[in-house]
Amino acid sequence: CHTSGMLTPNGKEYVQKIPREELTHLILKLLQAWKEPLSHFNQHIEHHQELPDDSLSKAKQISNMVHELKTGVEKVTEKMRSMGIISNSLNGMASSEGTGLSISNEANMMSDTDFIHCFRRDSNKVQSYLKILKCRIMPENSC
Amino acid sequence: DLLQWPQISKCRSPEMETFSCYWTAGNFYNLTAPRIIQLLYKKSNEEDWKECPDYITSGQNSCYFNASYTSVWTPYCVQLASKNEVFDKKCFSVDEIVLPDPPVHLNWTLLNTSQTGIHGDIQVRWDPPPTADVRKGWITLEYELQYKEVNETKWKELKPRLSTMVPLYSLKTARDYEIRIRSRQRTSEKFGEFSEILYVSFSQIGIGCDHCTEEVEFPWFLVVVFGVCGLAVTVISITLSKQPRLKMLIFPPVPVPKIKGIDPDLLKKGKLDEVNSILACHDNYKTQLYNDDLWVEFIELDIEDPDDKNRASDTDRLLSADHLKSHTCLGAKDDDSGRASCCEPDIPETDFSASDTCDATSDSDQFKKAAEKEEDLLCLDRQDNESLPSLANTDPQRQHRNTQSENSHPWAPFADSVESPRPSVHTRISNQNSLTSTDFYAQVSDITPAGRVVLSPGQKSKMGRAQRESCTEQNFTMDNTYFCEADVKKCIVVTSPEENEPRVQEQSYNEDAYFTTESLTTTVANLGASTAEPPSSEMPVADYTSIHIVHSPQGLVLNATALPVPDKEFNVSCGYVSTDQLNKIMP
Repeated sequence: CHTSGMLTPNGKEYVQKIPREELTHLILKLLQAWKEPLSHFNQHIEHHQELPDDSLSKAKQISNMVHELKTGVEKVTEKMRSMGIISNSLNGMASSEGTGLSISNEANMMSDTDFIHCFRRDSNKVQSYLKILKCRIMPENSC
Repeated sequence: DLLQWPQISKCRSPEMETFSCYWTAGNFYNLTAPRIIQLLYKKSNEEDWKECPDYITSGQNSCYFNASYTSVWTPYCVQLASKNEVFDKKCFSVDEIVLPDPPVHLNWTLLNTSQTGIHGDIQVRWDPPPTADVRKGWITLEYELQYKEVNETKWKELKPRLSTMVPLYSLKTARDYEIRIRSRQRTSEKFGEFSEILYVSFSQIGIGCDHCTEEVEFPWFLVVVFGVCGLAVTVISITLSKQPRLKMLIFPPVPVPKIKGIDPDLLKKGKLDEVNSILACHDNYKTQLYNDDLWVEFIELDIEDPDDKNRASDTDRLLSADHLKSHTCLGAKDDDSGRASCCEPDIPETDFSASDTCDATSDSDQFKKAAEKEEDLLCLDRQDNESLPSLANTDPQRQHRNTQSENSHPWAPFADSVESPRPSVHTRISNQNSLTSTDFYAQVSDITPAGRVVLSPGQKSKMGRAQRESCTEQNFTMDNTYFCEADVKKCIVVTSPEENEPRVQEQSYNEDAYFTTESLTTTVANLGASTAEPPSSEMPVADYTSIHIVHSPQGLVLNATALPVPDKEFNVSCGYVSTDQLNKIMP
């Protein structure tokens, strides 16, 4: 996977230990890393005649969801920063943009099954991170 | 015994923090020297295989990887080996093998009961498996609940949900129920094991209604019976009602399939030629008629000779009778048979553009028969029951026929070779059984889409003239219209197309002018086995004979014409009696 190079915590304890800013930053970095490959993938599979139509629409839907999620996390991050829940570490955000572009080129060379496999894993990762983050920030809500 | 290799049966992580792999030893230990089976593992980014850290915690033939050895989204590979001999290998990542433990602490509470006390609603609650850390949100679980009555066999399933409580509605208080729940990670598809069964018994809390065993079911039977009766009454009343509008509204008339312009009764009972004449209005049918050369014949009408009494008489007959006939055959009826669209009411025209003409076929045998009898050229008779006395008498004709062998022109190829749309002649069925004089017929050159038969006597004569002029050296009797094929062949003239308006197959008309006994003889049983034997030049042949009976598209029964045996003075070149000759023959 093209995101394999990213250093992400692979265990629950690690996720609970790293600071929230870093966790947030990681989440955003992951979402950013998938933005470009997803759009490229959508363009790629549009030319596949044998795929059913709902697969294509589903892929588009997923791309949109990832984009919306990233926007949402950014907004929440801004809110958290403004509320002082997390500290400001802006330089982390800038670097994520740069690495995102370089990683996405590698993503374009993957096969379709590997692409989907990697995306599934990373989406699971993002979900777990977000859940942990949520329960760390607001432990009272269904945690 | 078969040697069963050790195999890795499964690897499972209950909470996405640890995982275990289980294997089966097979009968390896018994058959070979006991050896130690090892489980080696390797992360994707490593080179070396490492041995399992814990063989004990998960039980026999298992390997347990605790949290320190587990990294969740990392690809692992494990292999079962024994001293460099690899038995089995598996690669996975931990987030894919998550199978949660079953939920615990199932219980139920009564929500409410129905007024009759027969049914009740309960709420089932449970706790998530203790190993899974749902509290921190590390793993999200879905639960599926199944329940059934105690003495049933099939479990009813509820769809998976995230919450740890679910209501069950409308359970029968008289019965006991069993409930079980299983869980799975939300993003995966496989469920873990089922929990322990929870027993629900209403009698325990004192509301069991043992005496209300009878269940008031919906009276389906009565509903169906009354519904059917009501519907029947409604239908009958509508059908019997005098109001046509209501009837039309409820039961609109079903349109029967109908070819435009065709009466379906006609198709069923009508005679073929009539049907053909109607259907010829439709272009695509026309070509079929043209290809059906079995009873197509061509008659030439010599319009150039107005002195011909016979023709006049026949003309009159054609016109008058045809006029009548058109109304009987294809009359412009007011019904929707559509024949009016095919037939023109103003049929009598001098160019014989009648929608159906009387045709006569010529046959050598018929001619001979006609020589014996006073018969006229008849039209096709529509009624099949008409007697045919003359046809049986073929013996003298056969003698004659045998003498006619020298001029055996290949008639058959003509008929077959003419693939082009020859005008099919509509045989007009005449009610008249006997004609007082010879009828002369025009060759049908075209059938217009409107159903009018366009005869082409003029062109024919023109063509004949043209041929005559060009074939002056020929010795055949040049009356205007009739030629033998043989003679014609000798001087085939490519007639200019502009001379003949319909089409370029005019030239073929010469050939087509002659009747193909080949086609007739297959069906004219009474004529005997007269194959394509043209009449000899010695015997004057009746050119046209009325077709008495049409048995089928393949069948024609010919009446002998009333032509007497011509004298030898008639110079019949190839067996055809020209019009003039025929005029002399016929009274």
